[in-house]
Amino acid sequence: MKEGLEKYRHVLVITDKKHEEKALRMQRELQNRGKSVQLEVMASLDVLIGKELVSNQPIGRGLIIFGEGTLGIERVAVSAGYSRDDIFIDSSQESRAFCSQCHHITIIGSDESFICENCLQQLEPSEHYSTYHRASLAYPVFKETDGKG
Amino acid sequence: MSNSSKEFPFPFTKDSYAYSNNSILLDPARSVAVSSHYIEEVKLKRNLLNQNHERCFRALPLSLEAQWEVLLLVFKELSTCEPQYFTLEQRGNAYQFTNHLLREVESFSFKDSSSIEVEPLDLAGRHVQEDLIIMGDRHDGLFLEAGQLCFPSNWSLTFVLGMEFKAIHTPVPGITDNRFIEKVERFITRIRPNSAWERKNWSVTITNKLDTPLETYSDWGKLRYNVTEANAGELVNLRVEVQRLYRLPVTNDILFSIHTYLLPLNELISNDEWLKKFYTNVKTLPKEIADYKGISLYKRELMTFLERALTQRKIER
Amino acid sequence: MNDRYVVRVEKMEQVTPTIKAFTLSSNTATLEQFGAGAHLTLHLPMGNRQYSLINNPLDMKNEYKIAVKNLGSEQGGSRYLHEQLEVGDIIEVSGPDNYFPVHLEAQHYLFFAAGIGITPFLSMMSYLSTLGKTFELHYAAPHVENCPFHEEITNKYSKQAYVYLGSREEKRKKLKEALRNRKVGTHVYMCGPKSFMEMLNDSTKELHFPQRVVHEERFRPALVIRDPKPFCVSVNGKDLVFVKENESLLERLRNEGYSIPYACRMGICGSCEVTLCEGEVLHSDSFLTEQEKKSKMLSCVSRGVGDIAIDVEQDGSEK
Repeated sequence: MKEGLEKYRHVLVITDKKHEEKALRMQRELQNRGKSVQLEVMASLDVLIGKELVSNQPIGRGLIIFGEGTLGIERVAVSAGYSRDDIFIDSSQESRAFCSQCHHITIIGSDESFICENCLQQLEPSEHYSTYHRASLAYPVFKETDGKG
Repeated sequence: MSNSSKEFPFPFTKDSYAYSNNSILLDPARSVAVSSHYIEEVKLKRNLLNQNHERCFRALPLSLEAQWEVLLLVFKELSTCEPQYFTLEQRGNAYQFTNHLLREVESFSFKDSSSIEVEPLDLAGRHVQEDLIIMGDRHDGLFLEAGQLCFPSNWSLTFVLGMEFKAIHTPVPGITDNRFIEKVERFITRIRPNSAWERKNWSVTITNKLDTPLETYSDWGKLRYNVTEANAGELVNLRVEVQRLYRLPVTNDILFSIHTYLLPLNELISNDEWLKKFYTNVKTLPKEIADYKGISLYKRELMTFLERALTQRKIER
Repeated sequence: MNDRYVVRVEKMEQVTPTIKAFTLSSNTATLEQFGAGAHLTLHLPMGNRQYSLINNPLDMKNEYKIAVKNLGSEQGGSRYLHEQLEVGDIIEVSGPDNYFPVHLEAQHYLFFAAGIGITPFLSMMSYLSTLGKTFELHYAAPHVENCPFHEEITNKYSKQAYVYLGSREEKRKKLKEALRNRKVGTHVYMCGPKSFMEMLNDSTKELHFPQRVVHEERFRPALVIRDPKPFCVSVNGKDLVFVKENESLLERLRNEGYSIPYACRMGICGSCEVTLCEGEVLHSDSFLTEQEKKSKMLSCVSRGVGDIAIDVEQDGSEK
């Protein structure tokens, strides 16, 4: 079980259809530990439906989000008054890299350098991570010869 | 001495490098200052805002109350502390702010967003040289919720928007392991209403530009490869940020203001005391801090330049 | 910082038989802004007393309003304010400070007050009304005559205010009930006697409220050491240092050659922290948590009692 979930008696799990299997496993695991779990499956994660769901939860609940595009629901949950550490995002998600030059977020497979989809800069992800963007900051890669001559 | 030198907030007090929370309490509490570069820097800020608004201004909706508080605070402070340059008149909820330096008048109704064309913090920032950041003091931490940032030293406002104070500062080397940043955060959360603390933060920059955002790093970052012993005096600038933390009394949020000053090395070395202190501080800088401040790339050239100046001026190392 | 300054008593109103409201103002100075939940410190002949400001922070016309209950004790500050003070008198104050700020990220506020504990909520309710945010007041008092601002509250906040009079048991039951079935985003603020706060705190725990959304005064003002005494310090298990009554541990250590970092010298910034190995300490800072005070002290303001042992890190080892 995820670290930090132990303290909740009730947990809301939101998932898209694609990750339902995973969410079900999480539900069972939590239920085995005596927690009550409300599971909500959407075809795809929808911010408006998500907002309605999270805002009407009783106080003191944990929130777990699975799926593609968790960020929208995470942000409405924070606006609805969740403490940021009451929200848990599926950690197996793809890595996101925030281009420091054009702000575009590129999904990357590894920690190696990559080309920004939007501005085509060659970038390198850093350890500077934003939970607001759910992305790592990526810096341009310089070659030794840059700027010389 | 030039105006720049006279006003320059030289940051070094010791003969070796030490990273600490060297804050002082300001009496009276001030959030901004007006220097002799006011007109040119405010114009530069406005150009940057007009050309790259998304890069230079960001705000979350939750910051709106604090933004209004900052607008009134800054305008009141300017008119009280610099009455020869600024006037603020109030009639009920209607305010009229006159900027005599720029010959401009701003009229607005307090907390009426329809009475102004930009967000309140954006308006306040267009009349000061400082970058202005609002940190929201929330039940689950201190978060960056709004900012007008034109003159950053290699950071991105868009990236740090919405981030927790601690997380913003994790890339500073050596400060996570000794919980230094947690101490600073706790210090900030205990700043009393209407009080302001000031610290100076220095770095070195290879351009005389104030606007060195991360977003244009690929343009100016490579200049660091160009430093030679011969051109260091012109190319290299000591950059000092006078940073102030002000507890907003009504919203209980924090206004973080940054006033940036640049001094070319050629001017710095004309002051013996400054030359010696700058030299010893750079010399004793730990490698990871030098890397972080971007100095490592040209530290050798810089040191040679400073040593030559010390010899010329017959100052003992 | 908010040094001491003087204000003039403009107005006094009898709110209940035992409670008076005071309006304080200044003809010469601009009084500082304050936030909902803030308090003012009054420097009275018998010592400092703190009272919540009750006016609307967004409608502050260079005056501070406080309400004081006469606790009746011979040497008491409240009795002095009730019986000695007259309109036109000058008193020395400092602040305002705020240990009980309103968090604007809340979606809904639950205020719990008992008796004179109502005062911080008067500023909070008028502030939040101006902002258009939703709140409820749950207010317990022995009976209507002893329920300060009862009329004002029931008139102004007829939809938000619930007043509980009557037996203690009945009140407890209703207050606990008021905590039930709350949605995420609700923040709880409480002010009243110790037993009242304990009961509510226990209830919020039973109902699994995250403790970060339950607010009472965040931290108490620092203890002021009025009569400093000399003490003896063993440093890093070797040197023995003697701190005189008229100097701080920080000053002594620096004079002895320890390059301890420091900044504010007021017990606020935490720079001059040292490790406490042994001995009793009078902590006078507003920085360390209760837990940290067991193993640390701020050398600028806190003092040993008798003999203590500390470890110090030298400046420079901290990057």
